Amino acid sequence: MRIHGLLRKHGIGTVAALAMTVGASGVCAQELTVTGVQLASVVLSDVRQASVEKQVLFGNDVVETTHVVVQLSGNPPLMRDRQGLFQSWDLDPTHLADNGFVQSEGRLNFKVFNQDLSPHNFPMRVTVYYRANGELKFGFFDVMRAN
Amino acid sequence: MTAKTITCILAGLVALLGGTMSAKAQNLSGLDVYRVISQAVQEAAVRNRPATIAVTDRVGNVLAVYQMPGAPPTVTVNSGRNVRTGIDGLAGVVPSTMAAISKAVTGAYLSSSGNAFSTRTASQIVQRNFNPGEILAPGGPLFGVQFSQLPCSDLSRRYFNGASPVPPDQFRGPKRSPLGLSADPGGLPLYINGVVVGGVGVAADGVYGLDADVSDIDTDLDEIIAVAGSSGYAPPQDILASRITVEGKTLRFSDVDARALAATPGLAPAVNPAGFIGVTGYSDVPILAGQTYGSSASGVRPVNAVSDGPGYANVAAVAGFVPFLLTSGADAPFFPVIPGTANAGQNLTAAEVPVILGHALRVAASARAQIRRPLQSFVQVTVSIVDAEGQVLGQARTPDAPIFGIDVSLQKARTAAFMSKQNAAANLENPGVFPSIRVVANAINGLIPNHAYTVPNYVTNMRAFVGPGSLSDGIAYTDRAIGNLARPYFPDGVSTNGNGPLSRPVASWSPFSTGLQFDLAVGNIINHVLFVRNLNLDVTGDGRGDFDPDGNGVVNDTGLGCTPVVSNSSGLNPLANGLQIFAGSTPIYKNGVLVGAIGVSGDGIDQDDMVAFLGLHNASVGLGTGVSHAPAAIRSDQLAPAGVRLRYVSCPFSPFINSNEQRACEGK
Repeated sequence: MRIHGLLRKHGIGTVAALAMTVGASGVCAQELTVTGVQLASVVLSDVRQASVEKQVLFGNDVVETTHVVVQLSGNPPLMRDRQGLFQSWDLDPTHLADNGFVQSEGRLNFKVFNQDLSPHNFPMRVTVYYRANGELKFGFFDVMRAN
Repeated sequence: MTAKTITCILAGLVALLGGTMSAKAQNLSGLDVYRVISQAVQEAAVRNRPATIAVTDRVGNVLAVYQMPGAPPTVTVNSGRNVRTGIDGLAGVVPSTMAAISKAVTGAYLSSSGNAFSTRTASQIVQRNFNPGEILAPGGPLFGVQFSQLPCSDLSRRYFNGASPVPPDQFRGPKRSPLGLSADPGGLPLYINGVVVGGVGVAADGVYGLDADVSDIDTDLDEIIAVAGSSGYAPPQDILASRITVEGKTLRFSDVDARALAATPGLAPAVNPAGFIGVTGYSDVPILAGQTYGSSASGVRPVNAVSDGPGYANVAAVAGFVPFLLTSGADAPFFPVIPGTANAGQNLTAAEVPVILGHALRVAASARAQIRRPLQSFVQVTVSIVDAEGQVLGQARTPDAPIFGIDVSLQKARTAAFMSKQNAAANLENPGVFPSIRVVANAINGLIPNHAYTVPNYVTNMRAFVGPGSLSDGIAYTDRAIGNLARPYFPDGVSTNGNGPLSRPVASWSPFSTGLQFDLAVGNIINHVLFVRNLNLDVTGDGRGDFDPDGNGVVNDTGLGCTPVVSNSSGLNPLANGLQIFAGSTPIYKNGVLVGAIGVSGDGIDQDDMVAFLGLHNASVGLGTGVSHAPAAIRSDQLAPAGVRLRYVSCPFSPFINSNEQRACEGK
């Protein structure tokens, strides 16, 4: 699959920006659902060194695959692959690339960005999915810039 | 057709049509902005009525905001209908700066070199009767347009105060409008040499409302101050709204003119620089010059047949002229032409999208405009195409189309696609998403006690009113049909009847609380007001604010996309710039399967309808790939709820400039 130029990973990955993941409800991690759930926004204090991750709970689910999709205003949705590169997605959930994120202590950690996001417009919408027992569960959140 | 061939053809088209299709390049300088502000301040000062004044450019960049000492810091939202739902009746919450910016944006966005519309014009065309107050008259032709250009729109670019590094589209338009479009008199367009270059908006009287009675002549303080500000930047007389008729009724531009002024604008003294203020999410203190519409820097420019790719080159080739598009970043198309998502094995291809866009624009260029002067001008509109999931497949516009149609055409396309898809009911009833915005909903309940947050109830209403399978039975809905169902009377204008199922009952309806349309976006709107004010409300009663989860003292803005709806097939938002409820869209089918929709906005609604309908029809004939209108048997005009047949589209009679054809849409 071709690599989409918009969000090609730049391999910065050094100092993580202050990407906050605590939500309005005060809950640090939430469970995904088959109908979708709104997750807490992430606010970037430095868009040049942006590290964005999202932890979710998966309860008793046996997670088979994990997926990330990013939407930038004006652009078609992009899916993240296992190498952290972004490619076009045809919106067919069966075509989502598996990111193979690891599970630990009932939590699943989705890595979204670790790169310079300054060339891009904000906010961004990120949707995270996992497949378990034949069901696709998902949640979504916004990535904002704090100037 | 090769790219080289297309380029050669386009070069010829530019040479042939450049003089008539291209808007002249003009912009507001910093001195112009200062002059508008000082003229308005002088008038307000002489009247001893301190004001908040905003000036924007044509694409919505806020160039300056000025607040005089003693100006009302907030406005009371008041339709005059004594209802307390939606944001109607909201007092002491909405900053005057947001009102003034919304009014300036409205003046700029509704106007062009062929028509000069104001917020008073907007007031006339968004109410439940047209004209307002006229018994048994249907609703205004742009009923619902006030909830466009919303602060949550995924199309609008945002301004980030003091941002470093500067975002790529910091000064590109179209920018969002903080409260959507305004119907409160006191917002006027600004012109230089006959070209619209921006708008001025004034909030001085403390009320953000509308004119419910057009049978009288008002003396509106905000409008008087705006007239003073616009002195020297007034539109040509021949294109004023008052020179334009719709359905045989003359539109209104302003109820006052220079004769009402208490001071001479040309003698305005310098203003106290301390009055210039920044507004979170919109502007910083130094005055800016406006962008020149048509330049890449403005975010809206002509198609470049070489650098914009074969998709847009083909749009131009089919249209027969060089259209405009939105740009972003390093001058790339904001909406690249892409193929649509497959639905039941069918999708629009990247080759089909430009052909549909091009044919729609071709229809526009051949048709007689409703709202433009001189007479016999052609229709100027923006055309958007989406897939069945609401993803944008392409967008193009005629050069001088009003800016508001950029967002509205996309709203219309998404509305037709969303409401025609068989998962519409399920997505509106989604139990997973709506409770998750409970914090915002609680805030709404706290601010607006009588506003029940009841989106899923509209599906229940539809099932009771239209049929048990509503919004899941695959009926093809145009925006005209959705508009039929979203009026406070059904059928539209018959005030002895009850409301349509997508509207609030008339007793709790107002232009600030329309029904499903507003309820889908209310969370975003309230969130945005709190962001601009940095007001961290404690709505859960736990002793700490609920809108600053980071604890950094800053309330978060509303995110990317309006409405909390997510598609249960993709997880993405299919209504990301909000729902629209007036005509100008039609769903697109391929081999009998819904694959998307086309939306059109910028001229009269019958013209918008015709450009969408005929554009798709003509494209389908040329393509021969199975792309078509909905089969007649599933169109919304097969339904007759409460004994009244819904409409599909309504095209103007004898619509073309150089043809005597009378019923252009019949039988198609």
